[in-house]
Amino acid sequence: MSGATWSEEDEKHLLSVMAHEVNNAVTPIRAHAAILGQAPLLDEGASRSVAAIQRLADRLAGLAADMLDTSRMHSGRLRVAWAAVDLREEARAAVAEYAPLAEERRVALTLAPGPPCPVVADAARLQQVLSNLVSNALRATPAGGRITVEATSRDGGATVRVCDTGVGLAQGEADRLFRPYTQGAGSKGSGLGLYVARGLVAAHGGRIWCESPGKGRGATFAFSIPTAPPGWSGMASAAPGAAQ
Amino acid sequence: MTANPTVLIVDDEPDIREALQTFLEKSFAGVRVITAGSAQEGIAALRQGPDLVLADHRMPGRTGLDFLLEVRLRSPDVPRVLMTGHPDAQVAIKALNEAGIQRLLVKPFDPEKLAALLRELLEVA
Repeated sequence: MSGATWSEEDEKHLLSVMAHEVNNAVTPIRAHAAILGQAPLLDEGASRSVAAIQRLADRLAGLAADMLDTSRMHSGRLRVAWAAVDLREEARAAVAEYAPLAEERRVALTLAPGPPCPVVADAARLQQVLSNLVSNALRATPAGGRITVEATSRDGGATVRVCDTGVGLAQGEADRLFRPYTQGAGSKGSGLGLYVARGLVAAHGGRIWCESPGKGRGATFAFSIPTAPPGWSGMASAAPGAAQ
Repeated sequence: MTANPTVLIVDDEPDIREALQTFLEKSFAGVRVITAGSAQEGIAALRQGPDLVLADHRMPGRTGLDFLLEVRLRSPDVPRVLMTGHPDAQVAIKALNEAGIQRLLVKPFDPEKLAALLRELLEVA
């Protein structure tokens, strides 16, 4: 890397190397947490510590995944594995994934009823976007609040909305949130999650946005994707490549 | 399958080798785990007759994939697993088609996945 200037190539290299290093640390952390978890007669405090280690390792793994995806996005290597997907089922899976955490934080997390939302998309990548939006909403919503996830089909596309009653956004904040290394006021993290989510939705030919009536009045994060990519023939072999 | 199977872990990261070795030995009473820090050391360790070989892909010198290609030539019946933090389609295809791997483990993996893999490939409880 050059000392005087910081090129895009330098950034890609740094992200890739850092992700590798984080992953190399998370693998043994998870293994050691599992070893501790197997110990007989762990008291309640020790069990909580093991759970905290596992949760923090998951957070680091998510950070590494975001760094790798950012590096891939910047070098045009982000791939989408197209297949028939029910977006509503993906939304249901995301709600189920975060249900225990929502319960722990006393936040009502629900999936709004509705019919299936068939699309041609990459289920794993959409799950990544949904996880990001639901986990962000959980962080932004205090105890006693509500998060509702909706999946709808309309006019050749499908839309998912994650609506929360949380801290909301100040005027002008919404536009900044999808830029790299940008966080919402008071939130923590690398600032890559929504940026990666935007890249993943864009790879599907869709768009992602957020709306809020103002600070303290909740927010809605949403994305729309076309029912199928342009030129989709319905054959799995038409996929441009496996997701990496 | 052997009553007390041996697992060979090849990874250039000592922390990973140690953690996975301890995890597997604590999880499976009859399993012996040996480790190597490079492909070259891994080749030498094959003399100990492992029943399962796990190798990290990205290592200084020869890659884990190259190492597993050689394992296939020397001990074709020994199951092989490639570990990688950079899941790349080309590497995965070569690993499946040429090195004949049984699994690709994407780092950082849940150690329970590794335990499940041992139960399946080595039929250990």
